[in-house]
Amino acid sequence: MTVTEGFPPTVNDERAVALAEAVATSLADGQFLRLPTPIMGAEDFSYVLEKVPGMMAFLGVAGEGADLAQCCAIHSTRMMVDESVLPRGTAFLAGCATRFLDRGWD
Amino acid sequence: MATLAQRRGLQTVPALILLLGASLLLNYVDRGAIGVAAPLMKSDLGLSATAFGIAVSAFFWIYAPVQLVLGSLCDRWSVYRMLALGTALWSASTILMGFVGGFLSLFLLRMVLGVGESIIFPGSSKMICRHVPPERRGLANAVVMTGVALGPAVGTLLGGSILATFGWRAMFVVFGMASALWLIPWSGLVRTLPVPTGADRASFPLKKVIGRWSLWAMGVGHATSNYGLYFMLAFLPLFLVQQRGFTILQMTMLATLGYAVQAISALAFGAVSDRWARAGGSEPRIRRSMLVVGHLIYGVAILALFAVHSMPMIALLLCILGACGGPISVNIYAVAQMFAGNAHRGRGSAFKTRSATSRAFSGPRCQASSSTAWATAAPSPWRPRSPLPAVCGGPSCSRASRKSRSIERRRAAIAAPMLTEDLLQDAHGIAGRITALRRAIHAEPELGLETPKTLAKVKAELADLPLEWREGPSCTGAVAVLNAGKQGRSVLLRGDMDALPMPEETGLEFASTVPGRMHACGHDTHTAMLAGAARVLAGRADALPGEVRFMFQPGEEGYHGARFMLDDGLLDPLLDAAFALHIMPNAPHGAIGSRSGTLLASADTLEIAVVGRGGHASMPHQTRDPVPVACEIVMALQTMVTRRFEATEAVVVTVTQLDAGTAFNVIPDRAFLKGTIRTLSPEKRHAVWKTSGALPRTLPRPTTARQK
Repeated sequence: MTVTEGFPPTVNDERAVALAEAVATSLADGQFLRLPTPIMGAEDFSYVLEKVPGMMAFLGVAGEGADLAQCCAIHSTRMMVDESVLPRGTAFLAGCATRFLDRGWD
Repeated sequence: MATLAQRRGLQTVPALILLLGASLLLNYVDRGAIGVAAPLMKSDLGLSATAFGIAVSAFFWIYAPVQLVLGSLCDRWSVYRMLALGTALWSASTILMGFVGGFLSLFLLRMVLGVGESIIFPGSSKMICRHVPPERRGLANAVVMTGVALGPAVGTLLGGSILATFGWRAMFVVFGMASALWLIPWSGLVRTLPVPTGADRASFPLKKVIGRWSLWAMGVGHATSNYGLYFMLAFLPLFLVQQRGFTILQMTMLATLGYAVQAISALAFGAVSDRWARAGGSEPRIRRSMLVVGHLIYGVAILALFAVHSMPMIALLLCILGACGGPISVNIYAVAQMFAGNAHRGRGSAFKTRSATSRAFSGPRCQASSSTAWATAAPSPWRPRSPLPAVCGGPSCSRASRKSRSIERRRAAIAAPMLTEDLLQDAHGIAGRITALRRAIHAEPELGLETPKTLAKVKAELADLPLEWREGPSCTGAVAVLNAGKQGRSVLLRGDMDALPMPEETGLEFASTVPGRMHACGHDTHTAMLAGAARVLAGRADALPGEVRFMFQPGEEGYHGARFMLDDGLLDPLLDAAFALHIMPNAPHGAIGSRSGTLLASADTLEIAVVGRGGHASMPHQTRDPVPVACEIVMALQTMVTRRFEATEAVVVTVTQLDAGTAFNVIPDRAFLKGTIRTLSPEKRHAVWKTSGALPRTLPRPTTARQK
C-alpha cells in the first residue's frame, strides 16, 4: 500500500479574503459569496499559499438565469463557460492586485 | 521588516552592526595613516607633489565607478561574502603599501585599495536595510559611522606613534594585518546570520535609480556631507600646522578631539532620532531636519575656523564640527535607506557614487591647487565655497523627498477609484482579446507539465506589453513581471494552463481538436483572464506602486506545476500577496465567492496492491484469492473513516479504480486498488496516512520534466 502525496490543503488568508470581498463588491452588480464550508476538491495553488499569504476565489460562469442544477460541472465532457463573465474575472484579478499594491491589507 | 528581523535571528544583528562599524574603522584608519605618512613617503619615494597627489588620489578615482559595479553585484551575490572579499583585498594591499617602491606601485596599490573599500558602503547599507527596521536605523548607522570618525583618529594617533618608532612601511604592514584579523569574527558571524529573505533580493534596475531625480538630490546630500568630512580629514591638519602654527602633536590632538566628538555625537543623535521615530515622530522629517540643521551649523563653523587663532577657540569649533558631523553622517545614510525601503536594491551604490565622485574631485583638487603635497588643500578656492554646498545639500534633499511623496500621494488618489468601474471597463474593452485567447487555448489542449503551445499563445498575446518573462527548467511555467523591482509591495496573480485527458462533447465550434483532451476544468479561461489582467494593469503600470507578477502555470491537474515553479525559484523573491481565480460552471453568473481559512482539501493518491496466489476459479480454496481481500479493503477504508475520525472533521477516502483478473475462470495473482484521500488539514492528512498504514513516499520528479 502506498500513498502518493498530492496537493496540500488550500488555505486562504483571512485578510486576502476580506480584500477580495471588497474588490468583488466594488464591481458593478458585484457580490461576494462567503462559502459556508470548504470544498473537498484540491488545487496546487496551495503550494503558493503555503508560502505567500493570499486567496483563491471562485467565479460563477453559468449562463445568466441558467438552472444551476442542469449545468455540467467541471471535469464534465460537456462543461460550458459563459464567456461574457471573463472580463469580470480579469477586472477582479486586476482589482485585487491594484488594491493590494495601493493599500496592502487595509 | 521589524517582524522579519525579530523572527530571523535578531540576536546576531547587533554583532553584525558592530562588525560593520569595525570594518569601516579599519578602512578609515588609512585616511589618518596616509595623512601622517604623506610627507615622509613623498620624500622617501622621491616623488614630486603632483606625482604623489596623482598616485594617492587614484584611490578615489577608481572608487566611484567600481562602487556602482560592486554595489549592483552586492544585489546579485552574497553581500556578506562580497564584503569579506573586499576586506581581504583591502588588507592585502595595505600590507603591500609597506613595500611600495615608486610611483607605479603606489598608484596601482591605491587603486586596489579603492576597489577593496568600495564594497563597504553599498554593502553595509544593504545589510542595514535587510536586518534593521527603519526606526532603529539611526543608531545602527551611527555605530557604523562611528567607524568612519574613529578610523582616522586611530590612524593618526596610532599611525603617528608607529611611524615615529618604526617608520611608515611598518605602519602599513601592521594596519594591513589588523584589517585581516577582522575576517575571523566576520566568517563566524555570517554563518549564524538569517538567510536572505524574499523581499530584498530583487534587483533594482539602474535606469530607475538614475531616473529618479530625488535620488540624485540625495547624491548631492552625500557629496556635501562628504565634503565636510574631507574638510576635516584632508584640509584641516595642514591648515592647523601651516596657517596656525601648531605642532604636529597639537594638530593631532585637535583633530582627534573633533573625531572623538563626532563619534559620540553620531551615537547620541542616532539613538535620539530612533527614539523620536519610535515615539511616533515622522521618521523622514526627523532625519531630514537633523541633516539640514547639521549642515547649516557645520558650514558656519568651517567659516568661523578661518577667523579664530587661539587654541581653545579652534578646539571649541572642532567640537561643534564633530557634534554636527554626527547627525549628518548618521542620517544621510538612514535617509538613503528610507528610499530603499526594506530592500536596499543597490540604490545606495548610486548615492555613494555621487559621494565617491565628490571625494574623487576633492583629491586632485587638493593636489592641483597646492604645490606642497596632495593634502595641502589650497584654502583660497575652498573658503568661499565650503559652506555653500554644505548648506544647500540638506534642504535640496528634503525638497526632493517631499515632492516625490506628494507625487506618490497623488498617484494613490488616482488609484483609489480605479478599483471599481475603470478596471471593469478596461476589461470589457479587451473582452474580444480575452475570448479569442481562451478559444485558441481551448481548441488545442495540452496536458501536464508541458504546455509549450499554450504558453506560446499567451506570450504572443502579451508580446507588446512591457513584461519581463521568467522561465525555469522543470516545466513550461512562466512568470511575467510588470514593474520589475519597483519599490513598494509585490503581488502575484496566477492562472493555470493544462487540460484534462478526457474527450470533449460540447459541440462548440472551438472544441478540442486533440482527441482525448479537453479543457474541462476551465484553465483556458483562467489563463485568458490572467492575460487580460496583465494587459489592463500594464496600461496603468506607472500608477501602480509596486510589482505585479503573472504566473502562467502548467501541470495543475495532479502534476504539481506550482511546486515545480516554486522549486525553480520563479517566484523568488517571494511576494507579499497572491490571488487566483477558478471558474465554476454551476455557480451563479458573475458571482465571486470564497471563504476564509481552508477552501480546498488536500488530495493524495492511494494505491494498494493485494498480492495473492492465483488458480482455477472453481477451486478457490487451493488459491489465495486477492479479489475478496481487495473488496474487504475497500469497505475497511470506509469503516476507518467513520470509526476513527470525528464526523465534524472532513475526511474522504474514495476507491476509484479496482483492477484484477483476465478471464472469467481464472483467479488472478494480484488485485490493484487506486483512490484518493482528501482532508482539510495537514494534521488530519497525516493521521489518515498513519491510520491506513500508508507509507507516504515523496513524489519522484515526473519523467516529463525537461532538463535544460
